[in-house]
Amino acid sequence: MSEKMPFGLGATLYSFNIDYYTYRRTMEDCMAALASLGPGQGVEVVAPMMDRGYPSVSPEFEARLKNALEKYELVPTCYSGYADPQRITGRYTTYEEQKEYLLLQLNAAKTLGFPVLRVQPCRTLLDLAPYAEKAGVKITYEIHAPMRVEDHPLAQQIIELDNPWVGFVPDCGTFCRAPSDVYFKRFADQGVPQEIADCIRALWAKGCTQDEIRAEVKKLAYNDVIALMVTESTEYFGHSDPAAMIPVMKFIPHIHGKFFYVDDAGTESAVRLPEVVAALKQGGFTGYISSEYEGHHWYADTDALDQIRRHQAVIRRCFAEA
Amino acid sequence: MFDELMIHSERLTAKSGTDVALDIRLPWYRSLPLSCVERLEFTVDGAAVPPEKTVLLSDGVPYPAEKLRELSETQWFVLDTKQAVLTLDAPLTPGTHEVALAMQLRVPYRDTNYGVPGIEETYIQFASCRRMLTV
Repeated sequence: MSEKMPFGLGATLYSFNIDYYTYRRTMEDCMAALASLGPGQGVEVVAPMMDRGYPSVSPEFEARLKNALEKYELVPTCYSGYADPQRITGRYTTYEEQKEYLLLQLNAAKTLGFPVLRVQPCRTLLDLAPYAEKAGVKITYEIHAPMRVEDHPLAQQIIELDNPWVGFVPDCGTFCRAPSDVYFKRFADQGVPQEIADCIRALWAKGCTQDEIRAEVKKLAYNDVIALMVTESTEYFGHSDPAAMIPVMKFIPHIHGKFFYVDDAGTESAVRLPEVVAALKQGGFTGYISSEYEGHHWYADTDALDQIRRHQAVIRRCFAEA
Repeated sequence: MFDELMIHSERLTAKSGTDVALDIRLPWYRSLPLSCVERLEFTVDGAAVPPEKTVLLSDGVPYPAEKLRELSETQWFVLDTKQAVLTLDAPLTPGTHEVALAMQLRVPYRDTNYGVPGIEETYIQFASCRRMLTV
């Protein structure tokens, strides 16, 4: 019999972005779809995508979410919030404003039963540790491409703080071997010449920064579409080594299992999935991996549920083989 | 993202005088405060509609396009359409007209410096859409 995985699988409802935005699936429909993959799936929500009460929690949303979690036997894993430091035109929010805004979301996560609150890097988060402990909700920064687990200053701060209520959530888009095939296909479809794609691929492989890639690409050709292709090459696909998680696993309560497309052979062209899963196994990860399908950024027609199913199958296979 | 879905209406609705109305959507995956709508610019048959003649209705309250930047406490929920009312120079003739919309969003959480102290810039998302609508 195969070894049982010490971590759970699930998905962020953001994976169903296209279905949700185009009214094909309500939040409850997304949750029912996720539940169809088997018992005990973990569910992550992006708060301002689902709750009209954001940054607070609305009573209507609380009732809907709790009903659906119970009905479909899903496990709440991560509440994705934001500091939104530039929400006021013309200035950054003050320290106190930011703290107040995040405390509303910490309370929302607690009310809804989520054990982890994820936010983007911001200035106040580390100081919220006492509130996190009181709420029983871990607060985390997302480490997203082009940030790297091994050397991002905020990850280092969290390690130095060494508080069990403060951690980080690596987004697997930072563990790439190359930009995704669907990314290259989309820009080719939009008329970007092959030599531009080859240039970006080669410079990315050398670990060049976005500015360095842009400078070289401009020598060949440049327009709005090419500019976007350059930006996305480093904003979506990062150079972190999955093994960098192993020594800091105690600070990682949750994983964003970002992926772009799993093909019929079970291959993800960008994310180093076998190494990610091996690192989680070796490091003793016990949280949940939220499958985060993001190929919808380039192609709207791919079936998100089928992609999540494939992604989770790859994770199980990689775990057995690791 | 979602540029082509930004103009939600199939038709332009004639209102009083030279006003026409249509429903639009936020071209982003999550709700944003109205203050993050930095530009809301329509053209009808190639003619730009001035900002003071562009009004967005939110919960029944009309806001001129240039006032949106002040509304940091009012969320545009991602699933909601909002009605835009445009005051044109002359009534539109019955038939089809080309409507274009350019929207510029300030993404309030995308710190271009990734949380590290230093020079921080504003992350801007630009979306555009063009459709033929019938009056």
